[in-house]
Amino acid sequence: MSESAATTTEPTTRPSGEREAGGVPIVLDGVTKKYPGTDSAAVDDIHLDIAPGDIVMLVGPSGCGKTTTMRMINRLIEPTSGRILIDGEDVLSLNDVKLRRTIGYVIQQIGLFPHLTIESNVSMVPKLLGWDKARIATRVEEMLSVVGLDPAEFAHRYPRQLSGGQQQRVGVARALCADPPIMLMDEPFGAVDPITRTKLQDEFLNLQQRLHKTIVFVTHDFDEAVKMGDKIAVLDKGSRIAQYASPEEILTSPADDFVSGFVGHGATLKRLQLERLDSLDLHPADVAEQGVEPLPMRSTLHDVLDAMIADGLDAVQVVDDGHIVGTVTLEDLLGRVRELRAEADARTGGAASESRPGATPGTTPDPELEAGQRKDDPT
Amino acid sequence: MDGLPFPEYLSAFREDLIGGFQRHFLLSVYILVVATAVGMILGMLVYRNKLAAAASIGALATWFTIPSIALFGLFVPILGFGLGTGIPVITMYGLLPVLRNTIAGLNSVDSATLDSARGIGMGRFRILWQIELPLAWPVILAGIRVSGQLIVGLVAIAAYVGVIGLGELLFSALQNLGSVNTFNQAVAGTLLVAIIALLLDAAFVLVRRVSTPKGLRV
Repeated sequence: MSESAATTTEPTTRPSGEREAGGVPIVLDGVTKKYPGTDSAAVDDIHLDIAPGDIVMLVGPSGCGKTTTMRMINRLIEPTSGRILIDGEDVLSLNDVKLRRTIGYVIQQIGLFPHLTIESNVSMVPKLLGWDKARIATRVEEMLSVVGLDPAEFAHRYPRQLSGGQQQRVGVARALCADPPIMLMDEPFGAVDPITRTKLQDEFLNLQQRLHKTIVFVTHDFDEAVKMGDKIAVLDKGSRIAQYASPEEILTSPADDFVSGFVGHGATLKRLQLERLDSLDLHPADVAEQGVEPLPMRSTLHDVLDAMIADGLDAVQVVDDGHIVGTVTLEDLLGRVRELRAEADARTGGAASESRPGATPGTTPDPELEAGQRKDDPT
Repeated sequence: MDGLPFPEYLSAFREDLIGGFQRHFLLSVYILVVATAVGMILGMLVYRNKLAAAASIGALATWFTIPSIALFGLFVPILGFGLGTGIPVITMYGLLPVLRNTIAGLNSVDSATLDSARGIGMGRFRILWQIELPLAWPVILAGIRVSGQLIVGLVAIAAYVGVIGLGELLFSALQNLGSVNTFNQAVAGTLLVAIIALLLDAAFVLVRRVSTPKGLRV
């Protein structure tokens, strides 16, 4: 995902003949929100650089100010001080209502307009922007297809006739309809059942690969953050950024105890969810036992480990396009884990191991020495 | 206590009865329209402000507790005999159900719906017009319906201060109790007032069906 961020929209065939607008950068510069009559700020002097086309996950415990932070970007909440720059322009200098028409907005409770058809719901922003009727009609049809709803079936229905998952698809279509460069999403998949959630997440990631919007995504679910994010900002009380890094980095080298506490147990296993089979060199196909379901090339290392444990095997076959292309062994997985650990230590100069949970001051080995030892590891 | 048999009474006083019916009906509708307009506008002005909403409902509720006869009597010396007193006093009574339901309806709109309306770039007036009013409409309409029933009854009582409608028949029947045709007058007046009330109610059922957004119909 992060590799694709810099590339431009691939030329897919679009019925309307329009190209989607890619993302723009967002900068939060010393943004503070203090409510009158409270001692501590809800959001205290946050600095955040968001690259165009990235999904940035704001994750943290409830009450940490993550939603407040997000809602200041489209000025649903006015910052007390600080600057918010979208594509270099200070949003506080813009008309707030017009600003919001250029920023997609999706919330957990969905908030469709119950008295309007799906079509009218989705077309609301283009109507506000004064698009002509024909363009709106084409666009609505296109957006419903994009989110996986058949326009012929759904355009003239009302929200209450749809399931929760379908309603949130409409919510996403409504947010995307006027092709905003930025999307703000507040726990958008939090209210649907786990199976639907996984499906919506996957579909949204596929969509984003094509759209390259700049997305600020609020969640309290760290696993969702790992799955969806190009970068994760782990927030503590007052929106203090405990760590702002890629999911890989946060899992392998959490910045402090708060972050590692938030990452929770099984950081290494979660890390394996981010690695796919193509990151390994495969052995020739004949090593694995026959009769076991081979795994596709796009499986994550987490899937591979799961399959091995489930079947009590230390090697499984890998298929690509229906052909067996090789075998992966348990030792390969362990080797990859060691590599990742070493890469992380090299990147942080060993600093991460200092603050790794369990490491107590005084017993921490010299970072350089430790890093040196790691390098000598036969990985 | 002798008088005409009821059917003969009806045909003999046909002109008077139809005239009274028409005046009563039209006057009720006019007052209802004014009460609806004023009540809804007032409601839209105050619904976001808890204090203003409570104050305006409180003021009208106080008015509501005073018997209409007393208020008619109070205002005749100021506004004069007839419609001058009748229309404003009845309108004030009719305001309360409309105002209360307008405020309740507008405040009952789901906060997530409002948040997303704001979030996608709808202005305050547009949200009121395109989102809040349509969603509050069934509740507001219920208030207008109650107001309509109330007004039809009050227009009858307003005959006491010279508002000419079906109330005239009823008062005349009371004043001349035992005289010729008083029983006929009472029955005819009561029936016709009831018919007006039923007609208005039927109209509301129709308006409700036509004007409720399809997505809200259960």
